[in-house]
Amino acid sequence: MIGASMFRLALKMLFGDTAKYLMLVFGVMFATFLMTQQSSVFCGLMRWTTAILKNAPAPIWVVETEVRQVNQTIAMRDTDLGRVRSVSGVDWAMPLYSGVQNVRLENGSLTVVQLLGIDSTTFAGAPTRMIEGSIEALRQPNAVVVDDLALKRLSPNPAVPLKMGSTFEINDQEARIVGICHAMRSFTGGPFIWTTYERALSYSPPQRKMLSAILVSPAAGKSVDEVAATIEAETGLKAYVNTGFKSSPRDFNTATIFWYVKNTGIPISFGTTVLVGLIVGIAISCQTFYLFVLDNLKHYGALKAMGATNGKLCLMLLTQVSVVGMIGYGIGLGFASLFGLAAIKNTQPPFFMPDIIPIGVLGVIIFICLLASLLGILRVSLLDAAVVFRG
Amino acid sequence: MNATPAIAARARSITKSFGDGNSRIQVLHGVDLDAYESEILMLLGPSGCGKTTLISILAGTLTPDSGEVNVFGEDLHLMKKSAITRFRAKQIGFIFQQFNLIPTITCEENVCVPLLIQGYSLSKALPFARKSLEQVGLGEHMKKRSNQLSGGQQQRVAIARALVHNPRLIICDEPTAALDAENGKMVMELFRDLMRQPGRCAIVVTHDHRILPYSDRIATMNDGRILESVPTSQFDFDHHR
Repeated sequence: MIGASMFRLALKMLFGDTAKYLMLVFGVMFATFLMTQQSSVFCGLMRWTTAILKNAPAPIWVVETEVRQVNQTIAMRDTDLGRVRSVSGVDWAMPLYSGVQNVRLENGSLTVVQLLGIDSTTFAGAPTRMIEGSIEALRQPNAVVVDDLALKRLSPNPAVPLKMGSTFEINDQEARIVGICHAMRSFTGGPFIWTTYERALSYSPPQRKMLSAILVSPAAGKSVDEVAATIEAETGLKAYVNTGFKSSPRDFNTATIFWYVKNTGIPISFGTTVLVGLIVGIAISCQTFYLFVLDNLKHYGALKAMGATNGKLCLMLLTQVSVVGMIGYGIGLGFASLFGLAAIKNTQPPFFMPDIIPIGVLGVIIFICLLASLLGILRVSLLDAAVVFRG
Repeated sequence: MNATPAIAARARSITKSFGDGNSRIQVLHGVDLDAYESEILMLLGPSGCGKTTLISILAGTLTPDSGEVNVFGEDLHLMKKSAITRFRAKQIGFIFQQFNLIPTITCEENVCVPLLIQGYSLSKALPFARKSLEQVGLGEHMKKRSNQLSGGQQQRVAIARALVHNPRLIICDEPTAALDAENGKMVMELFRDLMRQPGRCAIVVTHDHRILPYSDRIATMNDGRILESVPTSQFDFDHHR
């Protein structure tokens, strides 16, 4: 077995060649940063596609049969609400209006917002984190609750954000801020505005059918999946559950994200960048480490002549490449995390780093390191110890 | 009456060739050679005559095509590669033409390497390395990196490294080839002093006629054969000049 001192020797050989050592660390760091950052931005973007589900929380969302993702609105008849309420196992069912509307700012310019109309009695679908005001104030005339992003976005001068009591126009009708809340950013980038269901209909251009979704809670003792299945069976409508990504086959978050993955070029775009990170990482790391091994070949040959076994030399190479890999990975992950912190503070670009990303990237880095060391190991294993006598 | 010294390394009927088919080159043609304990044997011969191949075989870093190699009673030609590697680590010290010191570590760490290979910890190896460096007169340079030393000093570090684990056979490849005359002389004087220990044998490959007087016996090679192997006192220096 290789002793700790041989590990030290391997590391001194590595650190002593500063240029190649830094190049190796840079290669791994670059690959780690690019793969982690791009994957996290992709996950953040995908998470934003389900923002409505987070901002208007309800255990079950009932929508028109053809709806495949939460940002797709196909209006239902008002009578569907009654049909859902009559399904056994439903504790309550409330209407929801969801649509993108224009807001006219004081300076005359227009901006789009995500308008949510919720039931004025139960406030099912109301924001969960109020900063100022209360949701009950929505019962006042022309009242709206806005997210913190709206304060800047709907102000004619972003340096002077709107505040409680400020007014603006939605489709030429006055709206007055009676509450401010935290909300997840929407995929379209517009702020969220809550109002009552009836007022939301009045803010929106009239159509024959206006009911976007029905928010449902199962009765005590009933599971969401069970109640959703019953609703589908009895009404013919589509019932999704809102329990979190991949938690259930009928989860709306999962359906929404997979719809974007399948029907947009977003995964290809981000996937290409991640692939570039991987290729650059492999190219820089493998090439540089192989050059490092070639530069030190006479030393490995001398060690071999002096009695070092192939196993010892291979472990020395693995030590060198592992240390480079872990340092590069750590720095790369650190930079990606700093980017993430800045993104979260700034609320954009989207950034979400589930555990699987650093773990997966670590796996890729280990693969890169093994690939890089493999070339060196092959070279050193095949090295004839007698080479040291050949000048 | 003088007792015959024990044989340290013996090669019998060694053949070695490289390449295949038409490009096959026979480098050694049935070489016989004896090296005795407590002597410095110098192998002399023109480039390409097979000197390096022969010492590689004697050191166990190269396998002969045929023939027998015995070093201190061990039949290398019958041993497995792993056993030869272990034998080399314990019993053989190497001095290379280009020193082959690792430039990114200190001299004392370089000298420790043969002990580290044997499994010593650095802390246990360092006292031996320091003693060895003291013996070659580099006690004050042990913390320096090898590339901070002159060529002569580097070769002295290499000698210290070759001797630190107290091997019985020293294989030395052109030890003065990279040194000027003055440094070459200094290194060989030191080398001769350190080699004269009971039971130790040094085999030195050289082109450098100036260092021949430091040997006890000289074997001359040409075209893959040993031409003669005589005590240095009987060597015809004028003929080989």
